Amino acid sequence: MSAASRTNALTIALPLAPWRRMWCWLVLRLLGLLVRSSSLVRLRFVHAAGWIIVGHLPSDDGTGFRPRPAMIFLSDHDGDLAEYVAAFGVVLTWSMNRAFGCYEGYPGARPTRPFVDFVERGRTRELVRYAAYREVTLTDLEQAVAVADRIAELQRLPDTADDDAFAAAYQRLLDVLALAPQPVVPSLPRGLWAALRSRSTDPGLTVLVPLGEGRTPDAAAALGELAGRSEALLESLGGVHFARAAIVPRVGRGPASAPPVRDHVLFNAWFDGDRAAFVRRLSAQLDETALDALWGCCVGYPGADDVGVLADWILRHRLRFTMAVDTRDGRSVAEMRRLVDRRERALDFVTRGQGEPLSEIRRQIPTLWSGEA
Amino acid sequence: MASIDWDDIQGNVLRGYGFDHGHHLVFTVTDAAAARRWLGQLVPAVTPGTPWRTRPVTTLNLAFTHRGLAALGLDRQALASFPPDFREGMRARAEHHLGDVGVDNPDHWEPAGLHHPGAHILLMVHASVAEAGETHAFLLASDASDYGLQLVANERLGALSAGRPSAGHRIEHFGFVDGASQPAVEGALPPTTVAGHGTPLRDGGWRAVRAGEFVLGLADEDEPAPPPPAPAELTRNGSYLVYRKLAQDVAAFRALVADLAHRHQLDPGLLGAKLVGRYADGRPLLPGGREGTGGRHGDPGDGDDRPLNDFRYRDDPRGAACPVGSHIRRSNPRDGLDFPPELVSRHRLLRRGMPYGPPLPPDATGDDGVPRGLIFVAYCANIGRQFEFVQRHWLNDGNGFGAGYTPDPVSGHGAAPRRFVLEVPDRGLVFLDQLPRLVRLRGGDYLFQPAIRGLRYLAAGP
Repeated sequence: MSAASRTNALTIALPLAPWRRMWCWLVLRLLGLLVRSSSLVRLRFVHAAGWIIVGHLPSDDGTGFRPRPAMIFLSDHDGDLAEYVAAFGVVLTWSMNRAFGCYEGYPGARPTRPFVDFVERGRTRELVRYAAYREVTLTDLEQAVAVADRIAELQRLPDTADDDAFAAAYQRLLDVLALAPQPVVPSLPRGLWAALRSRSTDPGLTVLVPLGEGRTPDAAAALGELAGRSEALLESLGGVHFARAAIVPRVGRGPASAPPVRDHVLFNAWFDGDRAAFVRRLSAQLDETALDALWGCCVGYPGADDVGVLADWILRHRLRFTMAVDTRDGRSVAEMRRLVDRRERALDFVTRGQGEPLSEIRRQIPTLWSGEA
Repeated sequence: MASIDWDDIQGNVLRGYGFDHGHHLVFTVTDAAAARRWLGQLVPAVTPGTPWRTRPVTTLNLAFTHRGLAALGLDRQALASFPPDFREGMRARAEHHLGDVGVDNPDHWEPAGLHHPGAHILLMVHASVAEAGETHAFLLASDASDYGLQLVANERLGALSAGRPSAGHRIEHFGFVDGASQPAVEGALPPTTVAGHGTPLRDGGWRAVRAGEFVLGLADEDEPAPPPPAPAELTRNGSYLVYRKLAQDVAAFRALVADLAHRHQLDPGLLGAKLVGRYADGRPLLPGGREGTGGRHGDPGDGDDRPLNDFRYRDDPRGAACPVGSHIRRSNPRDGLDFPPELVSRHRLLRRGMPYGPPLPPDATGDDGVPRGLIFVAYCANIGRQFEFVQRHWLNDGNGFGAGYTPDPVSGHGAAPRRFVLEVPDRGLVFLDQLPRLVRLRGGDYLFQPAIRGLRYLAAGP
C-alpha cells in the first residue's frame, strides 16, 4: 500500500481489559445507536469502520479454547493515521474513551500523543489492501453526490422554465462544484431513527482463521506475494469497495493450561450485495494460488477445489461486527465511480462554459452524460 | 505555564531576528574528534534566544542532520531515539510523506546542497550589514577547515527591498508580503501580538500557541510535558528545522496573473491576491469587501499588526473573499475548518526563511535564467505532525477544505489537478484549471537544532 494514498486502512486486534466483555458489548451497541448524530459525521474521515468483540475463536482442529476476549477494530479512512486518531481523540473524546477504553492498556484519548502511540503500537499491518477508489475521499464522494443532484435538478427543469429559474439552478451547481457541501449532523432523534432503520449493523465479511503451528512466516510470505496482484484480483471480482488481509498475532490470552493461542489470518471485505453470494464469488473466481495464499497455512483449510465446501468453511469463520459505521449508504462501487467521474466532467463542463451565454449552457445540459460508458 | 529558558534555546527559533542578510554554510565532518573540538570552541559564539539589549551586527546558529549527529559520534541509542521523520530525512520521505513527485522528486534536485549525503552541519549566519555577514561566514569557513570540516554548500540569502511597504515587511520574489502571520508563542519575550497569530477561541479571543509546539520538552497544545527524545541533555530545548530550497518562477507567475486577468477580465492585483490569500502589501481579503489596512508588521513582536492579522475564516466560510484553496488559508486555516481550532494549532510552524537570488526586474516579461526563490526554514517540535502534514494534506490537497483534490496554486506540489476556484463580487465564481507550476523544490533536509546545552553535550562526545 502506498503511504501516499488518500485513503488508508487501520487494523487493531488487542485484548480487552479484564471483565469488560459485556460492558464493551453494551457500550458499542449504544455508540452504534448514537453514531449517526455524533460529530463523526462532521469529521468526515470514515468510509467504513467497526468493532468486533472476539469472545471465542472457532477452531477446526479440536483444540478449541476460550482465550481472554479480544476486540478487533477495522477502518478504511481518509488521511494519515496519526491525524485520524488525534482528531477522534479531540472531537470524540467521550466516545473514544468508552470504545477504546475497553482495550487493555488504553491510555485515554487526551492527551492525544499517548493515544496515537497506543494505536501505532497495537496496529496490525495489512499485508494485502485493496480500495476500489483509493484516491477518492469521503468529502469527494459527498460532493459528487451533491453535484449529481444539482445536475439532475437542471435536467428536470421543464423547457418552459424561465431563464431565471435555470440561472438559479445552475448557480447551485456551481456552488457545490466550488466547495463540497458541509456535512449536516442530524438531530439525536433523527440519528437514532436512522440507526434503528439501518440494516447495515453487520456489513461486509470478516473472517478470522487460526494459522497452523509455526506457519506464520509461510503465511506472511504468501500474503506478501499476493499483495502484488491483489489489486487486479479483487478488481476482477467486481463490487468490492475495500478489502484487507493481515496476520493478527495471538488474539487474546488464554489461561496457562490452555493450548497456546495462535496467530490468525484476518480477511475483511466490504462489497456490494449479498454476503453469501460474495463468498461464493470469492471462492469460485479467485484462482487457486490466491486462495491458497490467503488461507493455505490455516488450520482446516479445505483447499480451493470444491467451491461449496470452501464457501461454507469461510462462512463458518465469519465474525460479526458488534458495531459498525458504513457511510456508503448502499451505493455500489460502479455508482461511486460514476458519481466521481461525473463530478470531474461537470467541472470540465463548467470551466469550459465560462463566458458562454446561459442559453448555450442550457442547450447542452440535457446531453451532459451522453456517450457515458 | 512552563518558563522558557531563553539563554539555552538558540536564537531565531522562538523570536525571529528579522535581519536582511544571511549565509548558510553546509559542512561535512571528516574527523569526528576534531569536529567536536571545533564545536566546543564555537559554542560560546552561538547566539542564544535571549532578548537583546543591543542588536548584534551578526548572529551565528547551527543545526545538524541525523547523519551529521552520527558523524559527530553520537551513540546509536541516542540516534535511534529520534523520531522516524528526522532519522529518515527529507529525501527518503519525499514521495510518500511529502508528495514531492515529478520535478520535485529528489532525482531532480540540485547536485549540491543540504540534501547532499555529506551534509552534516548547517551554520547559519544572519547579519544586518551584508559585508559583516560575508566576513563572519568567511572566517567561520576558514576556521572549520582547520578542523577537517569540508564546505559542501554555501547559500547566500538576502531580503528583497523593492516593493517592500515598510522595513518591517518581508517580501518574497512574487512580490507579496511573506510570513505575515507567524504563530504567537506563549511566554514570548517581549510579548507579541496574539490576536491573529495564536489559537482562535470560541469567545472571539485568541490564545498564544504553547512553546512546546516548537521547542522540545515544553508544554504543547496537547499535554504539559511531552517527553523529548533521549538523552534529554541533548534534545531538551532543541527544535527540528525543516529546510527546503524553493525555486520561484517569477516570470511564469506574472504571465499567469496577466493571462488570467485578461481572459476573465479581472483586476490583476485582485487575482494575485485571490491566489495568495492577501494583497501584495499584506492586506487580507475580508468578507463584505472589507480589506485589512496596511501597516507595520513582520514578526509578531514588531508591533501591533492587528489590522493585518486579526481576522477569522468563520466569517467567510465559502471563501467568497479569501478562497478556501488560497495559499495562506491552506497554510494556516485558523478557525476555517470544522475542527476545534486547537487541532489547527498542532500544525503551526515558525518560519524563518529568506529569499535567495536577485529580484526579476519589474519590467521583465520572460525568465532571465537567474536562479531565485526562497530558502524555506521552519521550526517545529514534530516534523511529521507539523511540516509534513501541512505540505501533504493542506498544500498539496484541498480535501480538508472542501476544495477537492487540488493543490495550493502557489506552492502546492504533488499529482493533484492544478485547479482553483475564486469568487469575485458582481461576477460570481470563476473556475481556473491547468495552472502552471510556479515553485519547484531544488533540495532540502530535516535538521535538529539543539539548545546551547545540547551543543555542549555534543561537543563533549562519547
